[in-house]
Amino acid sequence: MSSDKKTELSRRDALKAMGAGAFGLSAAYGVTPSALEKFEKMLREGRYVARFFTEAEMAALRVLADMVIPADDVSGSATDAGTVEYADFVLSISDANTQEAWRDGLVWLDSECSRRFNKDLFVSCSDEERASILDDIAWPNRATDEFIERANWFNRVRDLIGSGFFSSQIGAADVGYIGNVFNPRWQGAPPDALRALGVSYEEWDAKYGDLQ
Amino acid sequence: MQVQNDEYDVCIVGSGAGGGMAAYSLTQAGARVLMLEAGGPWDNATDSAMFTQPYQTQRRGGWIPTRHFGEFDACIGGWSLEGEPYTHKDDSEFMWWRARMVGGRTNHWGRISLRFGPDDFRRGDLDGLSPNWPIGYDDIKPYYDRLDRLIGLFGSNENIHNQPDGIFHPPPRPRAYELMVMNASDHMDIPCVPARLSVITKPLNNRPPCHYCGQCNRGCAVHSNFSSTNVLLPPAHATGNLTLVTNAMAREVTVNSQGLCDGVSYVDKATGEDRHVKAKIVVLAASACESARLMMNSKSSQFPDGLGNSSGHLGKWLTDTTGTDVAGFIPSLEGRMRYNEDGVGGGHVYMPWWGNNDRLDFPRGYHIEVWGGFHQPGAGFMGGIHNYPRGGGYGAQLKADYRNYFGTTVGFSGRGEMIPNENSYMEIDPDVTDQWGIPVPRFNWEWTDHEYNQVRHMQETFRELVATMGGEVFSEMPTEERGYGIAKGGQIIHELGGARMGGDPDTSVLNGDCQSHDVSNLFVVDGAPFASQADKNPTWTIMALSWRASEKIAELRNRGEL
Ligand SMILES: Cc1cc2nc3c(=O)[nH]c(=O)nc-3n(C[C@H](O)[C@H](O)[C@H](O)COP(=O)(O)OP(=O)(O)OC[C@H]3O[C@@H](n4cnc5c(N)ncnc54)[C@H](O)[C@@H]3O)c2cc1C
Ligand code: SF4
Repeated sequence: MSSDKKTELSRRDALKAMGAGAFGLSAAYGVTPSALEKFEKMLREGRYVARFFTEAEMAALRVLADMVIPADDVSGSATDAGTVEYADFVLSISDANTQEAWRDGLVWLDSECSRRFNKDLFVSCSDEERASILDDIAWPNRATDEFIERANWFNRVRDLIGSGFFSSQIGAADVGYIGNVFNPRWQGAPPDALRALGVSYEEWDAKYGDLQ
Repeated sequence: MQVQNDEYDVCIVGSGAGGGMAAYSLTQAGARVLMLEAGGPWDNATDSAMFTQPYQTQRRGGWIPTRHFGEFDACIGGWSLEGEPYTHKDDSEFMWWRARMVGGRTNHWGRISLRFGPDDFRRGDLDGLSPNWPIGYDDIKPYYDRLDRLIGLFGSNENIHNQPDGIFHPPPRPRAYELMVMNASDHMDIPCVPARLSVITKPLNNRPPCHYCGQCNRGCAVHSNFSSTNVLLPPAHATGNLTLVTNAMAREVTVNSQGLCDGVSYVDKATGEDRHVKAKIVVLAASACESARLMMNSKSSQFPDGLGNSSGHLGKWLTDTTGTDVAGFIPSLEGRMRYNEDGVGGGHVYMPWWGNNDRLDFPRGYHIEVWGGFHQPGAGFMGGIHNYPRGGGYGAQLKADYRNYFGTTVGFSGRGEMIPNENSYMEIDPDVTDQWGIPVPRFNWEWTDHEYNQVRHMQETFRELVATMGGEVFSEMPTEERGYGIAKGGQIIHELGGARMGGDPDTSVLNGDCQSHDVSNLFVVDGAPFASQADKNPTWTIMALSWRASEKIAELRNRGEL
């Protein structure tokens, strides 16, 4: 929350400094502010209605997503960041092949649970049981022939859940992205960062100046 | 059809780089100008998504049907436009990027603003693989100088052969990883110098200097970078001589009984009605392929093969920049310190062409663009993380990997010179029209070994650069069957030619002033007049040519010759 306030503040400062008009979200960006607010409110109140996945699929995805990105001492989990709802939204606007591939993968997870552990559903397995399945598909280079196709599917899952988490407000703060702000006194990298990489601005500044 | 009786001095078709420049120059010269723009209104001051954070939208900045480079990108348009198809001959491939908005592609373009060099205008003399231009560097240099002063760009004077210097604002310091790239380049004897981007780092003509938010492609709300929309059109409007009509899709240039243009017919997209505007002079700047299309579609008894096409060269000698990319993981960047690494919305350094063709198996050259860094997390963030050394995984380890690998990728994009060839051209598809019944282009495309060999050289060079930085590339060297990873024709979005200029009316469409050999009051001022490419991006040259042609028009008008 505090990082959000900071961004808001610097945005406002920037606007003032620039004397520019108000920009931001418009209908042209695909989502109006009120649609987004409604969406966020539904999330907060836990009454998100899935657009693409079924309720059962959403339940499985919630478990799966938190296995991909769990909470730790830095930040919350994938579901804390609304990642499953984001994934549902993305799938709802994806092409039929992509949609099919996601469904198919979730069906396979359940079938694998019944084959291995005699349980109907991924969600009814224990954490260890679920992990043993992911262990076979989460490292594409190590995956055996039997699992390679599923490993490709899991690449998609990892990419969408991972990008969904880290592009959320929680995730962006976690990964330490602090840009896209009014930053008029560009100085490049700070001295400590340069030192750690063994580079310096000495030669550059001598040739081209440092703008300040 | 509604005919407007008002006659304008000049009708300009298109409001992008070429059209904006012509409007700027011609209105100041006192001409009454009507500008037709197929797209709708746009103003970066109010329409830019400059400071929007991806998490503020449901799509997180992802693709939308009307914005193929993402919902925040300042380009309405993309590889396909609803109701406006284009086709291909046989199984050839060509990708055509089109903007439909005031300012065209200049709202979101990469701002790399390089001058063509003296050699680039006289390749006929140097290697004979494409004709000389009818003009030389000295003809165009004054316009480059004036562009530098009017629009502004940062860069540095380097005195490198065939890479003319300019009048530059000071360049911003590079990012840390760019310093590492400079060291690697140095090691390989490749020059790596400050980029040349039309972003101002000092105040200029009432525009504030850049504030380094890194969002140039979203359109700059304070106009610190160049767009036709906010840098060229406002002064043109201020003269009181410009009338801009949006949602006006030009269909055809019309001619009178003397075989001169007398106006342009267009579709008012809002109503679907056909309209006609009268003008003494017509200036086409609808983008290279669109201007060639318009001329081809302007058939009459006097011009049965299309307007200004007595040479039969209209649509021919189409070129694009060659391109391929290589990215690598640089272990020394792992887990590095966080800070705001945005800078401007583009590389702060680049490598101009350095090779010696006597020792290479391809003619001409390419430049290298550099990318990497801590990018704003949005849709697709760190996609393919399983390609990093850990190889995938999940859970606490994966979460830590995202943090650790963030900002560890460095990439290189080669942008090189294609030689115009007979098999790369466009024509009108006899069977397909757009939603307004306007016949559409059909493309034929072929690369030759000149381009394949050049792109192989790019791949090898970039792999060596990554290795010199101690990194690992993410992909195998593309095979010969895959064209060494060459981008598709059109994909680099530097399409040029189609109405090339030349001294000989039998083999060219325009003269050195961008004026039709056949129709003296018809001019083309976008990428279509280019007789050849260069190892540089084209837009600074499009604008220099447009400015020069516009002054020619003003001169001819003053002499009463138009
Ligand atoms: C992502 C991207 C990055 C780029 N980066 C660079 C770079 O770094 N450096 C560089 O030099 N170049 C770059 N380019 C290329 C650059 O954008 C073009 O060279 C330049 O914009 C061409 O100017 P133009 O006037 O010919 O066309 P445009 O800028 O495309 O303008 C053409 C205008 O004509 C209008 N129009 C089309 N048809 C009609 C019609 N029938 N009637 C009326 N109006 C019509 C269009 O709507 C459009 O507004 C980039 C392009 C893209 C897409
Ligand atoms: S980086 Fe500079 S020029 Fe680019 S959008 Fe931000 S302020 Fe404008």
